[in-house]
Amino acid sequence: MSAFPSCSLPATPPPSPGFGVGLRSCHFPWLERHLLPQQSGVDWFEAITENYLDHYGYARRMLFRLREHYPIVLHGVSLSIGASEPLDAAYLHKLRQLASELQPAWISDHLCWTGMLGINSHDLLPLPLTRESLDHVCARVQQVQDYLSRPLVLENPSTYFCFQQNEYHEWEFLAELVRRSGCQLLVDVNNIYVSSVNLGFDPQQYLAGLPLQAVAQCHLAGPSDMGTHLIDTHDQPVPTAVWRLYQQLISACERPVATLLEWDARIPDFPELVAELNLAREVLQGHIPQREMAVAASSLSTPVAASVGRELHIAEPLS
Amino acid sequence: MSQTLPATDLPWPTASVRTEQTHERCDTPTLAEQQRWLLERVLLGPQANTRLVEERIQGSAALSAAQRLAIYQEGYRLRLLECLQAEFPALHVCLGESLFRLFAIGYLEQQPSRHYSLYQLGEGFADFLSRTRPAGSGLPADTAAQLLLPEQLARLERAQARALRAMGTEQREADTGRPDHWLSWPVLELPDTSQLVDVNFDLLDYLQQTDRYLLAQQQGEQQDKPPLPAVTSQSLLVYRHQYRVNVVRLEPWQATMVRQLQQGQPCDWSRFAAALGLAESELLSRLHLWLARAAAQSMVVVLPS
Ligand SMILES: [Fe+2]
Repeated sequence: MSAFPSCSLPATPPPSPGFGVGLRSCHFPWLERHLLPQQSGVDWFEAITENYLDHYGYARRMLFRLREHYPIVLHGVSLSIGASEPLDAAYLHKLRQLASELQPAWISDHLCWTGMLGINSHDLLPLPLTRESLDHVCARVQQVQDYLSRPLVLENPSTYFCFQQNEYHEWEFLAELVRRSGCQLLVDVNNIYVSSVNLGFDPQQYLAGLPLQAVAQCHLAGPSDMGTHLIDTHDQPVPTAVWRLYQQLISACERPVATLLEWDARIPDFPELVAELNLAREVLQGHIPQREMAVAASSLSTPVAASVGRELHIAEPLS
Repeated sequence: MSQTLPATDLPWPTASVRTEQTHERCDTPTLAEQQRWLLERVLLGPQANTRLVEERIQGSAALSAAQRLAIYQEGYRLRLLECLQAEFPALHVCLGESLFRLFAIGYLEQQPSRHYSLYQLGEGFADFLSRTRPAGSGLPADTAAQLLLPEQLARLERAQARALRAMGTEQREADTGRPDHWLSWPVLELPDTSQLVDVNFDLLDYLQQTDRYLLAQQQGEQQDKPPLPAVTSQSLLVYRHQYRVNVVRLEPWQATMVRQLQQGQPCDWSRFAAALGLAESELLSRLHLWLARAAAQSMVVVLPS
C-alpha cells in the first residue's frame, strides 16, 4: 500500500455547486412541474446511489432529466469501505457504470461498514478506530479511487457507541485517512452533533481536528432527542446547535462549501424543504434560527433512504 | 499467514472468512473478529448473548454498553421491517401489523439481506411465506384455500415492485409497434416489466381497495379495512406503460399465451389453437383484437416480422 495519494487524483475538492437537497422520489411529481433551478430553488441534488443501480424505471428517467439542469452527487450507503471482506466487485462495477453515464460531481459514501460474510445489515455500523482499521480503510479507499479514477468522498456517520479498543478519535482517524489516502470529506454537522452528545466529546474539538482543506461537502439534518441520547432521524427541521456547527465549519473553511439538506422521513413538500435549505444561506449571513430539537417521533435512524414503496404507481402523468 | 474465524452462533450457514493479519495478543480482537461479533449481535437482536458487551463497547452513566448496542439491534429490525411494509402494503393491510411483523421478522432471520440494494430485500418473501405455510390437512377446504392468500398477494406485490425498476419499453418504441398484417401471426415478446401472476382470489379488486384504504389513511380519514378477497381464479398481468405500473386481468387464452412467452417459448399457434379448441382464424382475430390494446399499453411487444 502506498503511503501517498495516487498522483492522478486532484488534491483539492471541486468548487462548491451551492445549496442542494437529497433527491427523494416523493418529490418527483413536483419536480416534473418545476424542473429548472430557477423554478425549484435548489442548486444541486444528491441521489442515493443504490436507488439507481439496476434501475430502469421512472426514477432513473427523472435522475437523468434533472442531470441536464443540475450537478448531481452520488451518495452511497453500501460501499462498506470498512468491512473486513473483499469489496463488492459487482457493486463497484455498477457504480462505475452509473457514474460514467451520469457524470456526477463526485461520489461519496460513509466511514463505516455495513456487513460481512456476504450479509448486508443496511445500517452504517461503527468501525473500531484502531491502527489496523486505519491501514485497512486506507488500502480500500485507494482501491476504490483507482477503480473509479476519482477521489472518494467519505462522510462521518452518527454513532451510538465507541469500541473499548479505539486508539483514535473519529476526527483524528479521518485526518490520517485523508493524509494517507487522498480521499475527501463530507462533513455531516448533524452527525457530529449527534455523536458528540451520545459519546460525550466536544464538537468544537472535532471541527478543529478536521483537515478542512479536504472538505468537499457538508450535510445538514434534524435529529431526534430520545432523552438519554440523540438519534439521527432526518425527520425534522435542523436545530440551533446544528446550525451553529454549520456556521463554524463554513467560517473555518474560509470558502464556500457545498451544502446539502437531508430529509428522509416525514418528508415535507418540496417548497418547505427549500425554505429550510434557504435558512443555511441566512446562517452564513449570521442569522441563526432559534429552534429546540423535537422529542422523538420515531426511533429509527434513517441514513438509508428506504424509497422502495409503491408510491410511484400513482405518480402524476408525465409531460 | 491467515487465520480462520471461530465458529459462529448464527442460525444460518456462513462461509469462513480469512483475515490478513494474525494478532498475537488474544485479548485484542482483530477488526474481522469485532465486526463478526457485532454483526451477529445486530442480526440476532435481543436473542443474542451479550457476553463481552461491556468488554468491547464503552458505556456511560446515561447509556450502558448494552443499551448502546440495542440502538443498532432495534434500528436493524425497524428499518428492514419498514422496507418490507413499503414493498408489500396490501399484504400488510391483509395480515395486520402483528402477523405481518411475525412473518417479516422470520423472513429476515432466515434470509438476511445479501445484496447491496434494499430493492432485493423482498425478492424471496413470497417463497418464504409459501415454505412456512401451515399444512391445510384436516382443515375445511375453504380455510385451507385461504392459507394461500399471503404468498399470492406477496407474489403480486413483488411483481409490481419489479415492474417499477425493470427495463421497460419506454426507450424502444421506435422499433416495435402494432402487427403490420392482420392476417399473419405476430412475433411477440414479453418485456421485463410484464409478469403474469396466477392467483386463487379476486386480488385485482383487493389491490384497488387497499390502495384506496391506504390513501384515505394517509389523508387522515377513517375507513374500514377492506374485507378479505373472494375466492376465484384470476390470471393477473402486471405491466408498465409510460413508467406507470398497472395490473390487468387476462382471459384464460391470453394467460396461456403470456405464460408461454414468460417461459421464453415461441408460440406454436396451430397447436395453441387446437389446445384451446378454436379455429386458427378465430384465434387470429381474437389475438389481433387484444393486441391492439395490449401492444399499445406495453403489456407485450410485437417484434417486426
Ligand atoms: Fe449525512
